[in-house]
Amino acid sequence: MVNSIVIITHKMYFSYDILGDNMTLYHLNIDDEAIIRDVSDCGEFSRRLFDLGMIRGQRIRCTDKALFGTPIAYEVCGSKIALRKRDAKRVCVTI
Amino acid sequence: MKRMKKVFLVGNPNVGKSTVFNEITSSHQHTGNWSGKTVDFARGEYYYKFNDYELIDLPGTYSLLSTSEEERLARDYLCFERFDCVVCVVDATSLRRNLNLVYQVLELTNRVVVLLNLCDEAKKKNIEIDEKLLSSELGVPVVRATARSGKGVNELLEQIHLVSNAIIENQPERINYDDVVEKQVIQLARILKMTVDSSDFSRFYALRLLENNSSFNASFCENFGENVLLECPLSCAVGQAKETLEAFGFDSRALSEHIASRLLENSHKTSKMVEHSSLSKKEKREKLLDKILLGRFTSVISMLFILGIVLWITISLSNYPSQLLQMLSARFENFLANTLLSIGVSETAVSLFVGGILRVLFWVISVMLPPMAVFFPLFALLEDFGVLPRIAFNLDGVFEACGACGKQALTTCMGYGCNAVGITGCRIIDSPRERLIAIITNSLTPCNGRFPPPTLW
Repeated sequence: MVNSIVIITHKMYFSYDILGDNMTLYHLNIDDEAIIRDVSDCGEFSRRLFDLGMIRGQRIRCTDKALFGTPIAYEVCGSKIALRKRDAKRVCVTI
Repeated sequence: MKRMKKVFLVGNPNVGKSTVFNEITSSHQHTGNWSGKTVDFARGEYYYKFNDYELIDLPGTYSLLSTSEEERLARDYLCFERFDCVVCVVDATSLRRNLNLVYQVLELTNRVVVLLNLCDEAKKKNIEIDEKLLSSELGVPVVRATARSGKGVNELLEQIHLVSNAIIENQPERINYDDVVEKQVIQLARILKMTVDSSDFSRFYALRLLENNSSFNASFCENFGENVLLECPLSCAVGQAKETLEAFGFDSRALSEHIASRLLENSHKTSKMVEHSSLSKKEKREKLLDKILLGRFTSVISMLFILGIVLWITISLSNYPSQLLQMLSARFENFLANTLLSIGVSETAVSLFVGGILRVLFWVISVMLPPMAVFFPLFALLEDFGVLPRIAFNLDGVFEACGACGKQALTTCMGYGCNAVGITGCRIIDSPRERLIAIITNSLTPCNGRFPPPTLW
């Protein structure tokens, strides 16, 4: 008989020491701030990111993660941008 | 006979370009509140101060640099067609994002009029914009307007008149790039002017060519001949300029990053200068919404709750006008049948027209109209509060796993009101594959017209 429902939440926390140079936007925890180091080149898409303000040297803050962890919202240049996991991995940052 | 003046309307999606267009040409091109509506350009003509004008409404675009398929149309039109004036429609509620496009257009031409639209919305949100300062910052006329109520349209016509007839010469503030870049751009622009095109667009062309913007290059070749980029003076000049820039660390990608950052800096600076807003109240509300709608536990519950409430209100509330309409139509039917019979129309004809055609018509109206009249205002309310984008954000993970896009959640919900609206709304989805999935699956949602019959039984 099931008499209680257990909800397992897996909050992922990343240790920044281990990641070092490989750190990307995806690795930011909520409310972390970072500085954009590089946007990896993928043609039109990286141009779109530039237009939205994802430019080297900009401060960026992770504000929300969606229910299943994949689109992640970032605040950059005063506007909020949601990126999917695989896109967030393309933007390298430093804390 | 005088030549007809050409005026282009450009702007971000959903800033009310089509409304402005209608106000000016007073044609009633249908406007709707979904983006990407203007796919075939609407053209209209009007007459002002002894001149004929042709107004062309370009599809909404966020940027002239990065382009999706639909935005490409707008860019190509703007960059390669001749015009006398460009009207940049700007959303006063999000000036900063919109200014980015304005600066890009200013790189192209100085015959620009900026139309500050949705001023009433901005006022509601406590955003004050000093349009005189904005005008002097940009170096082009700025007109304040609320196109929906026709405010400011006359002033706009006057400014278009002044600009397109070169009565006033704008001196727009050009964006300054790094000295190295600037030097190469000026050199290349000079060569472009001599070889390809004598217009004042050459600076814009030069920048894009140096950026190696592939979609721009394709359009450039389309317009100036297939081999234009391979022929000697130009190809040598481009190659040389690129080499020089690379030596200074500006390869094509670094250059586009540099350009984008300068554009952003400028729009940031200007918007900060001219905009005064007190957003504290709104920010608080947004924070609360974020907490509830994006919280780990509350999100699912609140989403289901909101959708449930909306559907429940729609069904229960629309029952009353539905019944009323049905009763009225039944009475009208009786009355009409009796009168027709009394003036001697044959019984078969009466039963065909009244009992058949009219009854079905009334039935459909009484069942479908009230739910729509209740559902869509509620939906608009949700949109105003910013509930819908948050739901889309939250559900994107699930939709992505199915190869679809989170924005589909919105169009599906819209489908509960009317499938036609839901399907046209699918245009907000960028990727063609995801859009197709959304369009096909959208028709599976039972719309208002389809779910009342079961509930009536």
